[in-house]
Formats: sequence, C-alpha cells, structure tokens
Amino acid sequence: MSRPQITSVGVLSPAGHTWKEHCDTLLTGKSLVEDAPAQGSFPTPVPVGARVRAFRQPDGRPRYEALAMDATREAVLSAGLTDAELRDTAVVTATILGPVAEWEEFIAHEQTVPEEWWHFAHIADAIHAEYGTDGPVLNVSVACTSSLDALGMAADLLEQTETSRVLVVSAESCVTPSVHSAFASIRAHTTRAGPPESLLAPLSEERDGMALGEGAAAVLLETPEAARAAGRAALAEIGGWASVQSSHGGLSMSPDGAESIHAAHAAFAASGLSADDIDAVDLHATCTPLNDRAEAAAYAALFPDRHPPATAQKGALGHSMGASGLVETVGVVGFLQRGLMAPVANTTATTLQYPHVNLVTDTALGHRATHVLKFAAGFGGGHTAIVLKAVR
Amino acid sequence: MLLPVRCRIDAGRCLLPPDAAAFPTDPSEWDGVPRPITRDSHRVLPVAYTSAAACRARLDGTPPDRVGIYVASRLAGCTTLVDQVRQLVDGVGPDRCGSTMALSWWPSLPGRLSSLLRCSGPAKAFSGRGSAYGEAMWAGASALAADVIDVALVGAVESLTGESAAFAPGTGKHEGAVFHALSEAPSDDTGTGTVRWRVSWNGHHVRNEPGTPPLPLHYAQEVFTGLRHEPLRALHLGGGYQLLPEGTPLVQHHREERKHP
Repeated sequence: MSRPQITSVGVLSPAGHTWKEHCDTLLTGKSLVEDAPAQGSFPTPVPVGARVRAFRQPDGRPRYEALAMDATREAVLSAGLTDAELRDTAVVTATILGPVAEWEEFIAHEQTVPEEWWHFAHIADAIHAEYGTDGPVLNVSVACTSSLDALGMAADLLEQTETSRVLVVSAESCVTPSVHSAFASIRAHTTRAGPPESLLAPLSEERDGMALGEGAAAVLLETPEAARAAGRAALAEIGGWASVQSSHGGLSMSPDGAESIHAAHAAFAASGLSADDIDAVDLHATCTPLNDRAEAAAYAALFPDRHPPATAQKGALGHSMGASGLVETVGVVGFLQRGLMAPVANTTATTLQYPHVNLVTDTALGHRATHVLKFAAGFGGGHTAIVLKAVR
Repeated sequence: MLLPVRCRIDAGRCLLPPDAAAFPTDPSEWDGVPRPITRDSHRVLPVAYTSAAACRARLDGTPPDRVGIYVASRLAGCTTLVDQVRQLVDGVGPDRCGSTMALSWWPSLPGRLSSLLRCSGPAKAFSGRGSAYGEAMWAGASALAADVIDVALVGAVESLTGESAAFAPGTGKHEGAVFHALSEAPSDDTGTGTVRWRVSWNGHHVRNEPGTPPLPLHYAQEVFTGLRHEPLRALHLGGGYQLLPEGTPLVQHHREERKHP
C-alpha cells in the first residue's frame, strides 16, 4: 500500500537552527532548559524554559510566525520546490497560542491589541505571501495534539483527494508568563530546585512537571507519485494515524493509559500493522506525574512480551505545546535516517520509575527501526498516535 | 476537489441573537449547563455546549466512539487568552487566572464538549479567520469518508467580550453558536426530498474583512438557514470550502480570481 511520504523537513528549536543541528543535539541527550531570562515587561516571571537561542525576531511580526517561517524555508529549500509546485501546495498549520507573547506586551503597556494580531492564521498567511501557495488551508488548534493531528489530516488530504503535496507547519512561542501561570496553577509545571538543565527527567521517579519550550517545524508531505515525479527521495512514510477522546475530558486521563492504548490500536489498524510490527516508540512524556505514568502503563499493555526501545524528547526541548508533536516527529525522522535513537535527558537506568519501559538512557542507541509509534496527548482529553515508517 | 463522501445534514440548534443575547451573564443562571464547566469558565464553552447538546440529544443511537466533534471559531482562541492576560495585568492572581485559562482554553474546548456530550470519537478545533467553519466541515467529512466516525457534530462558536467585541461593530453578533450533525447519506437515500451534499474546495480563499461579523459563525448560520430555504444551491463555508448538492459540477475558480478574492 502506498502511503504519504515525508520528503523534506525544517526545524527551529532550542536544539538548533537546522534539522541537522537539531538532531545532532538531541542525540547527545543534553537538556536545553535554562533559566528563562526576563522577556518583555510583563510583571510575573517564568522560572525556567527552553527558548530558541540566538534568534532575531523581525520587527512587526509575531515571534511564532517568524519561527515557523524559518523552519518552512529550510523545508522548501531542501526540497527544491518550484514555483509551480508551491502554487499547488496545500498548507496545514497548527498553533494553540498564536501571538500570546505579543498580546502580553500590548496589554502590559495598556495598549489595545491591533486587529492584525487577533487570529491564529499568521503562519498560513505568511506562507501564502512568501511562496504563493494556493491550495486548501487548514488551521488546526487542538491543545497539545495539534501538530500531530495536522500531520495526520495532511495525510488524509493526500489519500482522499487529488491533492499531491502538503506543507505541514507548526510553531509556538510560549515561554511566557501567562502560559506559565496556567500550567503552574494546575501544578503541571515543575517546581523542582536545582540547575535548570537537570529539572526535566521523563518517566523518572524524580519528575514533578513540565517546563515550557518554544519551537517550530515544517514537513513536506507528498504522494509517492508526486515525490517520484519530482525526483525527491522519501525520508519516511506515514503508516497511519488515529485520534481518540478521553471520557475523562478536562485535565485528566486514565492512569492505566486506556486512551493511548486505544489510539495506538486504531493507528495500527489504519497502518495495516499490529503492535508486533513496532520496533521503536517516541513518547509524549511531558514529565508530569500523571502523563508519564499513563504512558508507561500503555507501553506495558501494548508490549507485554517484547520491549521496543523508547525515547522522549521533552526532557531536552521542554514542551512546545501545539508544536511539540511535529518538532518531535522531525527528530524521529532524523533518528530513523541515522539508525540511532536519542537518549532521554536526565533520566538514568537508576532513576527510571518504570523499568518495564525500555527507555534509551545515557547515550544514543544504534537501532535501525522500521516502524516507530509516536504519541501525543492534550488538555481536553485528546490522544493521537501515528506510525512512522522508515524509508531506506 | 471533492471528498468521496455524500453527506446529510441534520439541523441542530442555532443559538444566535436574539436567543444568545438572552444568555445569562451570571454562571449560576446557566440552566442545563453541567456544573463542571461553569466554574471560572469563559462563556464560549457554555454557549457552545448549549447548542451542541441539543444536537447530540438526537443521536442517542450512535455509539459514543462513532461521534466526532469539529468546532470552528475565528476569535475564541484569542478571546480566552487575551481575557486571561488582561486579568493578570489587572492584578488578578496567577492561580485564579491560570485556572480560568486551563479550564476554558479554546484548544481544549472540543475535548471538553466531547466529554460533556458523552462522545469519544475525534474532537478537533479550527481557527482560520474566514475559513474555520469550512475547515471543520472538511475535517468532519474527511473522517466520515475514512469511516472513522458515523456522525460529526460540526459547529461554530464565538463569544466576544471586552475589546474583542469591536470585531462585530453594529452587528449585534457578539455571541452565538450553531451546531448541526453531518453524516454519510445512504446510497439509496433518493427521492425523499433529502439532498445529498458533498464538501468541496474551489480554490477561492476568503479572508475576514475588518468590521464584518466573525465569519465562521456567519457561514454556519447561512448553512443552517440555507438548508431550510434554498436546499438546491451551493453553500459557501468559507476559505473556498463549499457544500455542493449532489449532481452539481465543481467549478474551480480561475487562478487570477484566486489572487484577488
């Protein structure tokens, strides 16, 4: 069965300004979380976070849009897309916080927020303005599953219609006081003491919450026929995806991982695969006690007899909210290309709370995976799973 | 560009002025709205719930995991966040504001609706300016085409408060919701007066003009009323998305026209 192919990617994250730099840094297992320097004039501080370093934000443009456009340029340039191809390209974007950093500044200075800052469509507008893309547009905004949903919807667009090429782009600039206050108030943000780079330890017994991160990623998704006609090699394929909803809703999830299990089985069915075919896992792993416990339980239920290597990237990158799914997918594609899996930041074999999870720790693991299961979960109870297939 | 699915639309509930204008400001007066969503909730959630619940009530025979929710809003993502930022600046404590944001956040609204309405299929939100309702309809029809669900509850919602009310000057359309059901029409569903629709995209991007009412809600209302009064014409959904009655040929807009919508 021919599946949509990822033929080009771009990324801008705390780990790097290019896909290569991003993957190289992730493979070291180092955390990029640091003391969050004061930004703007908002009264309450953000203690720690992972920001894109040495990034010069253009005047008059929202930071999340600027991050998204840098990632998009990398994907477009490395694909060598022609003007004609760009015109017929669909665009699927994902953000859940939009220009929140700029809203804070306007309001802190007692200014009215101008109309051009009152929407979440800046990324699609900027791509249209720079590249003349004239295909259909979707702007997805579904909590922290947003960009993984966007990737899945883009795959559906290719499989259900005559669309042959989609740019999937997501970005968040969310290391900001109001976003921090939201997650701190529900005790989802870390309050641990210690060096910032040591605070996030996915699935460890020491974890106590997430830290915010920012970032952007872009993926060019094409039908195999379109990729072949253009002479672009596939980096990976979308096997299948699925999204389910928790009956808990709100801020909770089943401790036994029922929703992740349900989403994974639905993604396997969409892929024509079973759990036996999965040989690597990329976890959502926010570092909150509840999320990581539920995901560890889901892993145990899905893989009772064999334990495929698992990794998680938020210990290194922080949590970039709606963009996290795509930023992490781009990392997974890099790992597949190199035959490696990145170690999880800060968690060791000694501190791992769930020893049945075959978590990659300390150093990168040489592992030529074929089918990677990737998870995302979000407030409101959404759970998304996607199967990525290596192409070599 | 057509999706390979014939859709049937069942009108749900249109909660627009003057009905919406009567929606009480005091959360204690939100009769029929479950308690968990009233504590510190932004009004967009109960407004959406009130419309969607009426629609869900007609679907009791559909298994919960076969019902999906697809919600559109141009401004709810902004209003829920800007209101919180404004409160923080005004000195309301971060705990209270953060709690408000976490409970009322637009991107988690479809999930919260899904839980309240006892659905466990996909629940997605779309935030394009003029196109969000078209995006939601497209996604619902796409899930039907993929046989992921049997019914999509599709709708649009706005609740403009404070400075966001400036986006609908003079229209009175500051608050409202329209939800309806979208399902696949049986292949033998002919000759009964039921129109079979297809969701398509015609290449005509529509962007919001300043001073117009929030367009996703406007388009959803047009579909709601258009289905009853003019069932045989194409209905625009925003962003180039449209509903085509069965048999209507798809006409792609000329590229020159696309550049100057």
